[in-house]
Amino acid sequence: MAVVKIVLFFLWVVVLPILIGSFWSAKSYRDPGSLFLAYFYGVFIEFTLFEFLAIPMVFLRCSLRLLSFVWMAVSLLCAALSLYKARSQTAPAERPYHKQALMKKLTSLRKRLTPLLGVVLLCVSLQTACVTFGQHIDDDDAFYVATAVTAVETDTLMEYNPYTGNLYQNIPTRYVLSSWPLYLAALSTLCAGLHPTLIAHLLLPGPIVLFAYLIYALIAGELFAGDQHRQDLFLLFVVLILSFSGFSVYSSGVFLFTRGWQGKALVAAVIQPALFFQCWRAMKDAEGKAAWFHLFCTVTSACMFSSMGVVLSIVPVGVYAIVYSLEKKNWHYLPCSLLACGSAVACGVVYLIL
Amino acid sequence: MTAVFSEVFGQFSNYFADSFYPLLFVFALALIFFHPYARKERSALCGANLLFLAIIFCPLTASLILKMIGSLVYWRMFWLLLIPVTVAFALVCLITGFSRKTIRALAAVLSAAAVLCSGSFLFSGETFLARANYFKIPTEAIYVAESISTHAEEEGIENPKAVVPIALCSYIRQYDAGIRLAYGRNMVKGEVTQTKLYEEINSEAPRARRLARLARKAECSYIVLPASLSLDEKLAKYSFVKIDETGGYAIYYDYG
Repeated sequence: MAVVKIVLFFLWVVVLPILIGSFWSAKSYRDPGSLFLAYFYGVFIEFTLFEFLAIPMVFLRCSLRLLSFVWMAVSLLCAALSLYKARSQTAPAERPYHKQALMKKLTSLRKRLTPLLGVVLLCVSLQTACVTFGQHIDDDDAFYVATAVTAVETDTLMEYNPYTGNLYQNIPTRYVLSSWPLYLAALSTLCAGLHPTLIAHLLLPGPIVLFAYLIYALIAGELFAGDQHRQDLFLLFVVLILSFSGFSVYSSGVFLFTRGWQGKALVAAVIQPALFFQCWRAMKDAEGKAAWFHLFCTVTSACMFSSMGVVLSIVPVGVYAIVYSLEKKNWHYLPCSLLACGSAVACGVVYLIL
Repeated sequence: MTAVFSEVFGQFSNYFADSFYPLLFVFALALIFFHPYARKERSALCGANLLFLAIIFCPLTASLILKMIGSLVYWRMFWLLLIPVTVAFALVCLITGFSRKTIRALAAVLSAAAVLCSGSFLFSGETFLARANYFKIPTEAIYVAESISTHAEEEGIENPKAVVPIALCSYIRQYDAGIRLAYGRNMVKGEVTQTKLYEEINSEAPRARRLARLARKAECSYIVLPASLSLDEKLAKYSFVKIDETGGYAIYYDYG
């Protein structure tokens, strides 16, 4: 049974995002069919879907099961639609999951495997092993992880105080718009009852570290397009900088490695580089409307992770919009960025009202 | 205005502690600004980071953000500075800017040394311990939760309520949210009984009579205490009978 649960977890966390993102990756003009890009886009679309379903359901006092199964249905529908559209609108080689394209990518990856990249991969593997097999206890889990466990236990959405198990007297206004703990609970439901604490502490930290490095790899591809040696060197320095960011308990590196399963850690270590990448794609590379849609999904994911995600997504997107507008003398980035930040602005207004 | 600036500067000092990452960051920004290879990335990295710094340190924007998010978490604004991307990019530009291979290798070694000396290693034994169990929570919390839920099942009690020492209260519900607790980690504005119970159970020598009375008032069927306190007989006088001893804790059930 444990194997079935872990396979289901792998399907939900790895395979489904790739399928959802495959159409968007196939459409990318820069690197069509990139598996990394498909996963990157798919993850944020999945989170956005979850946030849009979870928030009204929390206020309507729906059950966790209902949320989980509706999200499952919508995600599967999106994956099927993405596959269908990728099949009908793109060439086989541009589809990330296509057998020939995959084989071609594997061959090129083997050729790409320089000693420098080997060192990077080794370091990242060791870090992933450390966060998976090591233990770092954080007392904030008394809220975040316990919210997920409580949701599973009571089959409700944020109706009970996770500290005590008593019914909430008032809506927890600071947390109600950030559905990340409910995502852990929904994963538990969809993985045949896999304990949310196991998901948070044992299974998720490794993939989150890998996902953070995947974003840095995508950034390397943008900053040093076509220069693999410099991309590898860049990644090596990123690994070094993150590994030596233990100077205080507040750094984004510490948050990534010691409490990657908490929403605020994702805002620090995943959202910030992701926003840099998405803004680059939307404003510098002019990837078209799709890039703005993906930026919107990243901003919505930031709100899903933590209430701090509201400020920590609006400010960077605004700053990048100003900088690129000044650079390119193209002021339409400003209204586009405002639209991309729509969900964060709405969340901010709701927080102020509540 | 001075107060806001000193608040922000204080948080900056706490965030970076005694590391040289801020110096490395400033060096990287200067390098990107003046390096001929980094012309294309200058606005994205230099311009954006300088604007972030301006927003974080400018008393006007800082006071606005401080009002919105509160001073307790203002340090999270430093997450906006893309230190890994900026510093790594600048160092790669610096290294690959040299044409001779030996100088490149020397620059790479010196750059790596600069990073290593500026920060402190995160993957030390202090940060990560060997995993005690798959849940990665204190094992004694698992033992106590198992013991309470097994007993409650035998007694036919739904959602049992327990009062546990502060050392356990953060973890019990991460393992089994079916167990309710008298107080949680956020014991700031508790009810009177809750506060009294919290103070009594976490005192050096809890008084059995008072503890039993307060636990009953808070509708707790279970009391968990460090086994070393040896309150078995005294608590039994008030109908709290020891049902188990596990992980260094004694568990009492109210048979009254």
